[in-house]
Amino acid sequence: MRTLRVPEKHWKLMIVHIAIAICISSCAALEKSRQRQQEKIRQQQSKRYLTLPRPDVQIAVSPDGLKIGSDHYTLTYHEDLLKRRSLDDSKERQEFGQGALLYMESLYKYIHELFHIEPPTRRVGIILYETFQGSTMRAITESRHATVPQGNALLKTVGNIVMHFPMAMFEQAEVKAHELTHAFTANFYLPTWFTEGIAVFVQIQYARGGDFRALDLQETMKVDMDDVNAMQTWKGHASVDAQWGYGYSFSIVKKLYDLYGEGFYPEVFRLMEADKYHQQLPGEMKTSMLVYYMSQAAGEDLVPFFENLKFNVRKLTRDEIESVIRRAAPVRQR
Amino acid sequence: MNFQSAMAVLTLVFVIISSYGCLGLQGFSAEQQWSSNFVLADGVRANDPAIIDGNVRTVGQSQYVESTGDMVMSYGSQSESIITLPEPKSIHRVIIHSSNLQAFDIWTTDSQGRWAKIKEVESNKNKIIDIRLNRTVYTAGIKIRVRRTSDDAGQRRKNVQNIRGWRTYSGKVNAPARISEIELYGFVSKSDAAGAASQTSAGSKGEELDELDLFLK
Repeated sequence: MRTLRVPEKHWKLMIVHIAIAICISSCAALEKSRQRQQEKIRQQQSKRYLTLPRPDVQIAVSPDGLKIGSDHYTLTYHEDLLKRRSLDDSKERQEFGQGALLYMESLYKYIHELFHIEPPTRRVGIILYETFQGSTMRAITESRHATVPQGNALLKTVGNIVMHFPMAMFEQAEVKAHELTHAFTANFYLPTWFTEGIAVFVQIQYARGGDFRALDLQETMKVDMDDVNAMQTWKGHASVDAQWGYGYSFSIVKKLYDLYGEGFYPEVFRLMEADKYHQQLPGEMKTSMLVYYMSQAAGEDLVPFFENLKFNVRKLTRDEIESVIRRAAPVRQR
Repeated sequence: MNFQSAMAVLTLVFVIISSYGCLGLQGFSAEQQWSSNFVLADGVRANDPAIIDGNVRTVGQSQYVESTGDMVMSYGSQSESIITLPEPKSIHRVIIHSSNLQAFDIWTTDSQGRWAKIKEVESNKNKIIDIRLNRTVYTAGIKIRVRRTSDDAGQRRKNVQNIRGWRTYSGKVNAPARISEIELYGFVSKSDAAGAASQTSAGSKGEELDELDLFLK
């Protein structure tokens, strides 16, 4: 029997090759592990802080610094704010305004990426105040609606959107995120409870605000005289139980998010946008119609979920929605 | 060899060693140049992007730390500016451009993502705060926690009232810091520095063109 003899020189070469291969593979494994660790840290940080990248945006300023414009905003200062020492000269107003719009542009991109929708107007107005409506603690997003003929139908559109911020509110990232969410959803004429719920959801879930905690939907439920959940007819900040309403509406939105995941709300908006029925409704969208879209996005009937919360809702069909729209249409369409 | 000759030889040796040592140190410091500003790299994020846009004419601000839901605690909340880098860098120098920042701490994240305080600044009066760190900090995250600004007193006068012995709050008592830019630097070798210099000049040309476009529109 013959044995194969490998020259000693070749053995050495083989050992060197194996050592190099081990070195390379362990380096690659180390690099992968380092990247995984970095990604984990990034995710941890993004759960605690809302950080945004630099937006690629153009900002123009007027020479007096009273008007600043960017791709998606115009910003102006109310005269009561011009008495502030930090904003009483044009250079300071220009620099603050540019920085403010840079932030708002980043936030715009962020919310757009969350829901895949955009505000109905090309630019959103921002007016900054020292005090707005006698308060330094109330920010409001106001949208003006108009009706425009399109083909044989009259469609509701949003003419302009203006966000009114006292400076004390504009200094808070979570408030900016809340108000900007209103600008993004203004076109859908949603029930007030959902409009506020989704805005508080962005404020808490994404802008890391801390003012509201998710409530137990059964234990904290309030009902009206008809034994219907008071949330259904809640009117937002003007209501007596405003704080409960913000917290409860947020809790419903959060519950559905937890049940159906990140893709749920983008899908709800996509379905509404595709139909455009919201633009032909006589008034605000009813909760039953919103539940119609939510059920499609969830892939199951959500009427029982809302009935369990004592909402007065019924299961709608597409034909029923179209019939309501036809009956509500002005004479011109008929 | 007598004592005097021995001393002369020792002195000569000492002079030669010292000269070489100084030359060596000189060479070492000449090799060390500041890197390009890390915050201008792609993938960098901040809790206000105006502080990392490379433009001192855009003023951002520190953001209030998440409130707890308790109104009184929330009124007293502090603010901070956070920058995250896409990958860790060795940082030796931090420059903060701020018109009202007086006292603050600098925090960085470690390899596990935990924050650790690395520097305290008690009383600053400069608008450009140039901080050289006395040790290398290898980190992917930096945080400026604001402790005092020159606007705090005014803010407190406006938002805190004492009525019949009761203190009432109508807003935040600490003003946020107005920060136009935060710059982060490390050291680079000579070859890296040459590359960075050519990149910087190309970058500034691009900015000029952008500005021109804006005004032409």
